[in-house]
Amino acid sequence: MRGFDFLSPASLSAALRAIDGQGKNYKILAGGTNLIPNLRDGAIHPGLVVDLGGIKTLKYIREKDGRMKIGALTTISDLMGSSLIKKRAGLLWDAIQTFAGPLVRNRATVGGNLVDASPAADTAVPLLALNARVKLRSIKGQRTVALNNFFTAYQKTMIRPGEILSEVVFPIPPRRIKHGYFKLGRRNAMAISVVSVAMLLDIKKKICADAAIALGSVAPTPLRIEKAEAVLRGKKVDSGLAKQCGEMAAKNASPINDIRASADYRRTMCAVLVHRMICQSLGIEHSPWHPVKEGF
Amino acid sequence: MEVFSVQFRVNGEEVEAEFPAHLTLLQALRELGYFEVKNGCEKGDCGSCTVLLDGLPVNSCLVLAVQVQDKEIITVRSLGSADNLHPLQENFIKHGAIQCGFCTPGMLLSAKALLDKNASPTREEINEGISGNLCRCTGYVKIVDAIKATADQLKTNQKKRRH
Ligand code: FES
Ligand code: FES
Repeated sequence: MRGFDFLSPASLSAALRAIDGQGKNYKILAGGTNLIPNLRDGAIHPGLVVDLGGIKTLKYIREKDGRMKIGALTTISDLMGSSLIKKRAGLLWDAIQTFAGPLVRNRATVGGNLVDASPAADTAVPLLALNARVKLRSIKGQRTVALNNFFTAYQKTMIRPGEILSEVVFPIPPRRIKHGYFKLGRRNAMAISVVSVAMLLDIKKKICADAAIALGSVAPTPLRIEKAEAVLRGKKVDSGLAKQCGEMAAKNASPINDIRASADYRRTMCAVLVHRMICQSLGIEHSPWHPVKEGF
Repeated sequence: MEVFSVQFRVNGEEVEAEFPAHLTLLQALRELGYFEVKNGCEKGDCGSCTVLLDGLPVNSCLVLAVQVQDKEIITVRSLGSADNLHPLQENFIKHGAIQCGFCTPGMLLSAKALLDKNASPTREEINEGISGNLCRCTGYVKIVDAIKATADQLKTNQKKRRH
C-alpha cells in the first residue's frame, strides 16, 4: 500500500471543507470493507483519505412523515438490529440478512455500499425497488437524486468531486404491499450474488395496482426492470402472468460471463427467480418452471 | 512519510504508538507483538484476523490503525490463559475443534461475540455467527459442537447460581 495523507474530521462540514478543491485526489473512508483492500492491492492511489467514522450525526435510522431516513454511516449490523427497519421496511430487512458475514456487517455502511456501485450491491437492489433517493452534500449545498438515476455505469455514480452521500430516504410502503427478495449465490455466507431480485407488489381486489422489480448482478449497475413491471400492472396476477413478467425481465437484463456464472445462466435465472418471487410473495401456487426444457 | 500518533487500549492495556496512515490494524497489532491476530488473506474473506473493536467482532485487516484512536480492542489473548481457560477454549479442546489452529483465535472471538448477543443459539444461528470465519481443517461440525456445548454449560451454571 502506498502512503497517503489521512484526516478524520468530527463533522460533515469539516469533511466537506477537507475535500473541497481536491479534485479526484481523495477517497472517502466509510466502512472500509472495499476501500482498504483496494488501497492494499494498489487498485487506487489517493493522495488523501478522509475517514467519516468520527461523524456521529451520519449514523441514524428515523421514521418521519411516512418516510424512512437512514444516515449514510449506518452499518448493516445497525440496520439488522433496528426494529423500525424490520417492521416498516421488510424488503430491506430481508435483503441484509444475506449481506456478507457478521464481521463485515459490523463495518460496512449503507452509504458505502451505494457509492461503491457494484452491480451486486446488496442494499442497492431492495432500495431501488423502494424508490429510494440519496442526499448528496457539498460545500455549496445539497441535491437529492433518485437512486434509479444515481448509478450511471459499472461502478460509476452521479457523485461529483466534493460531494458526500449523507442520507438515504424512501417512502415507507403501506402495510398491504407485499414484498419478495431472493439472492442466488454460490454459497450461503459471504457470497457475492449471481443474481438477486427484490420486488414490491401492490394488489388491490386481485388486480396489480403497482409493481416495482429490481435486479442485481445482471447488468453493469443494479437496475429496475420497468418493462417487466408493466407486464403486471392493471392485470390479475397468476402463475402465467408471473412467467411472462420473468421472461420480460430476462429480456431486459444484460448479464456478463464472470467467475461466478455465465451470462446465459444469469439470464435464465432472472426469468425463474422473478416468476418464483412473484408467486411466493402473493401466495400463488406454482410448479417449478424449467425454462430451458420449455425452449425459453 | 508522515506518521500519526494513536492511543488505544488492547486487552485493557493502554497503547500509544505511531503509525503511517496506510498501516492496517492487523499489521499494527502484529508489529506490536500481538501475534495471536492471524493474517490469512488481508481482504476480509477469512476472519483469521478477527478482533473485538469496542465489543464488536471485526476483520482487523479492514480497519486502518489510524482509525482506532480511543478505541478498545480485545484479542483472543484476554479470553483466558493456559491455566485458566475460557469455557469456549475448554470446549474447543474437548470437542476436537482445533486442528492446525490458524482459524482458532478468530473463531473463538466470533463465538464469544455470538454468545454475548444470544446466550442460547441454535446450530443454524451458530453457523451464521461464524460464517465470516473460514476453517480449512475441521469441517466446522466440531466447532459448532463446541460452541453449542459452551452455551448449554453457561446456561446450566447460571441456573445453578440462581438456586
Ligand atoms: S486476514 Fe483479515 S479476513 Fe483474512
Ligand atoms: S483448524 Fe486449521 S483452519 Fe481451522
